[in-house]
Amino acid sequence: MFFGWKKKNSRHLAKENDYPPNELLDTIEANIKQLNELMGTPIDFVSRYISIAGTDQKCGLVFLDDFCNKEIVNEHVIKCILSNEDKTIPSGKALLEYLKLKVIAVTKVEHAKNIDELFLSLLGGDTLLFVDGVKEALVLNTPSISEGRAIQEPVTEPLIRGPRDGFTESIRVNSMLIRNRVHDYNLRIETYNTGRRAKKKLMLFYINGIIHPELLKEVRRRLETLDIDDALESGIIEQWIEDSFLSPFPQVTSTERPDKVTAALLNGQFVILLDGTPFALIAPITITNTLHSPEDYYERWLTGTLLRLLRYGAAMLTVFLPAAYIALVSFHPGMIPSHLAFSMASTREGVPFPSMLEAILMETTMELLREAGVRLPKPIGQTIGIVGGLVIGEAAVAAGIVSPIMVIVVAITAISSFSLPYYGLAISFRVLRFSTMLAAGMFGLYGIILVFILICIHLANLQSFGIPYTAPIAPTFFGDWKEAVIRAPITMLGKRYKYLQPRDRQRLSKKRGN
Amino acid sequence: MKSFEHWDQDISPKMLGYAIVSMTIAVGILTLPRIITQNTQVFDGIISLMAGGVIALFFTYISAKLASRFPKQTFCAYAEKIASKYIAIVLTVVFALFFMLVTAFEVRMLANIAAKYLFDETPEEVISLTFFLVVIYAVSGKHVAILRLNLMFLPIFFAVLFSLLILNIQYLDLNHFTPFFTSSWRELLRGTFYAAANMIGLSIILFYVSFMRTPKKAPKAALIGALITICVNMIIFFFVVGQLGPVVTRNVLYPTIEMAKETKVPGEFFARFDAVFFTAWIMAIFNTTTMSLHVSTLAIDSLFKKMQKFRTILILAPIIFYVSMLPIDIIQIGLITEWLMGIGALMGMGVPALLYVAAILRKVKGNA
Repeated sequence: MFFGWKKKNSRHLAKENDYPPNELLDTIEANIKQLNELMGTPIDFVSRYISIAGTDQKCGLVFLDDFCNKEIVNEHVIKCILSNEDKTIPSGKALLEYLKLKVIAVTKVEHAKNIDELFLSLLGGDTLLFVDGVKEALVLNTPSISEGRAIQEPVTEPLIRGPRDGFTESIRVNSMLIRNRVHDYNLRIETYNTGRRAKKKLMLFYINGIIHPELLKEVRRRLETLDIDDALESGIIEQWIEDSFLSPFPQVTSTERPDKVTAALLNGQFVILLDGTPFALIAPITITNTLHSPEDYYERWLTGTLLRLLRYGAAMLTVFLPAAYIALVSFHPGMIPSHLAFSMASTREGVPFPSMLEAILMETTMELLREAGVRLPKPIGQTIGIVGGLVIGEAAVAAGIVSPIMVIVVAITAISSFSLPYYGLAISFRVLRFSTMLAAGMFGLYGIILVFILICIHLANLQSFGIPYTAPIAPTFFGDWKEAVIRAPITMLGKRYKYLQPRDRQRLSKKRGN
Repeated sequence: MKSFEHWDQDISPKMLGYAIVSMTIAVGILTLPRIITQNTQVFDGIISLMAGGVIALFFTYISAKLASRFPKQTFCAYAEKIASKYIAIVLTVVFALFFMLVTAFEVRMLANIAAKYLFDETPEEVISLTFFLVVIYAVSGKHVAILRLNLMFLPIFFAVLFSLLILNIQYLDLNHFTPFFTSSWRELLRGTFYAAANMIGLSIILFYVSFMRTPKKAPKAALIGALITICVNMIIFFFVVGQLGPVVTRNVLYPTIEMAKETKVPGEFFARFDAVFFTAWIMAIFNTTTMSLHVSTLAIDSLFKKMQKFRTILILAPIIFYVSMLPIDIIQIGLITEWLMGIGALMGMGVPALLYVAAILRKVKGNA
């Protein structure tokens, strides 16, 4: 229903915007004039007529100033055409072929007939070459070396041990980073153009022979339904292709790390890169994937396993700790050991609010602090630390608004949510935390367990690209637990995840694989 | 997504086994020690439990055999093939009503116990309504998700249960077990009936095997599942009687929770372990309730071809909730329990046995 409406709407728009004539014309002048007028005669539109040396035939070059590499245009296009030595050259369509084969010294040359295609190349930094009498143009690949950000360590996903490079905003650099790591001729790259107005390149990466073909079919189907003006960031692609937009859980992960992407490809997942953003999308994922960090593999297995267990504990604390505090203080004080109960009661003595209000107050303040910390410009970011630490921590207790134990609870909750490796998951846990707090305020421990059951029901129904989100726990694949739940020694990880149904499950040689 | 689909359609033998364990571990795990010791002397109840277990295993096998004889067919469809159309419809309706009653009973029991142990003032209606809404949410999802929830919750419940038992080993008093063999055979027989009737949830086999891709493996999985529950019941009986003694066990309402109340956690991190046990038990009873509501919707959907699952739930839910609030106090609930066990024994054991014999005699088979 929803999709039907979208499609109908887009058809309507397409008709209205049917303005560009999609055909090229016969002469160079007419073609160049047409292109220039369609773009509204911008100042960086450069057109140039050259007569081919030794003959009376002409050709026309069109490119955008500063967008293309002028050195290449000078040295390898214009100079070559001017120093042509053949006296007899063909005309018309054969001339294009002749230029392509014998004259122009650019690595990549293509034919194009369609005005849409021409604009796409022109705006991408290519140079167009026209000759008389042909409704066709040559597209010469002359993009300038983009002066984007250099490859840096990703800010959002730092590791202690692991490669220091991260993706940049340029899709060319990013795909090179991936190719550099996967020296396998089975690495496939499929390119899509997204966006109806601002056309952007989108690349789908997978390893042929590992990924399940049905999964691939499904991704392609979803990518083909993309119908948006402009894909601003890969997050928009993610929201378009995800399974359930009602779920608080992310069904696609994003990462800035090429090593994470490589590992995902080798697992039989697919990766989507979008031009203009350093965040790559990885899918399908499960709940266990979202709690993994690449460092689990780089450190020795014991460290990796223990860190993972720690993170599971942190995830539980993030969601349930404030709720447990509320439940214990207001519903089941008998459950707390008596000495602790007395000291808690004495610290809470002057606090005017019930524990739920106290907790919601403090947690909301914490969320505010965090949000403010993100938005503030870096030089004054430290202010937040001072304000948060002093005012919220000490002053609130001294003023008797909250109890010191509440401050400890908030601090532990915040620290545990920071220890989750994937930011998208941490956000959804923060949302769930407030629902558990409300439930605990109403029903105590019983409310918490009901919310836990609700979350589990939701997870059991959730899928990521047809893979159950709770795999390999339910449905159970015990063989996958040694990689998904704990991190067994590398020599024991002989097989890829079964729940992804890879075509080639063997990761290590047969002798070791078990 | 063809080859991914079977995860969303089919039930594996493992899931069936888990489902049977989850279904049969319910209120009985809290009350069974009391019911058995009320009917037998001292520790002789263990014999009744064993005998009842063997009977339950036998009928589990027959139910699974019957259902796996007709792969991919609903209970209504194969009952019609074996008997007649009207008998099939009547049986399906009775099963639907029975499972609705079970749902209502579980919801009420949960509210009753929660009100007793966790709340001071909150009324039972509110407790049961919130729980029932969660159950409805679970049932309105995919049916395979309901079975996946078993895979998640059952291990948690078992982990808590066994840590409870391990912590309780120190309190075992061997004097509570003697003297042996003082019960009359009549008492033992009555105990056996209750032990077998405690496994009434087993008739879900008749409905769930139709979702299996390999129904041939159903009998084995079902037997293992039933065996696990029987063993768990026996172990709990052993511990409860060993700790509380037969006299106390006979006279407290929920002896298993009383046992958990006595437990001390080393380090005194929790002052009361019974609340932890109780929360884990809520997950177990949630699974039971969800599956019984699910089976009753399955039964009704198999009668009406055009019925949507969610609509069925919307119709059933108010009725079930109303019925669950009918009994006034725990004595009336106890009476209903007796009835439920009687009907359950008839439906879960009599009906499949008769159908199976009829199927063999008339040589009716699945794909014919």
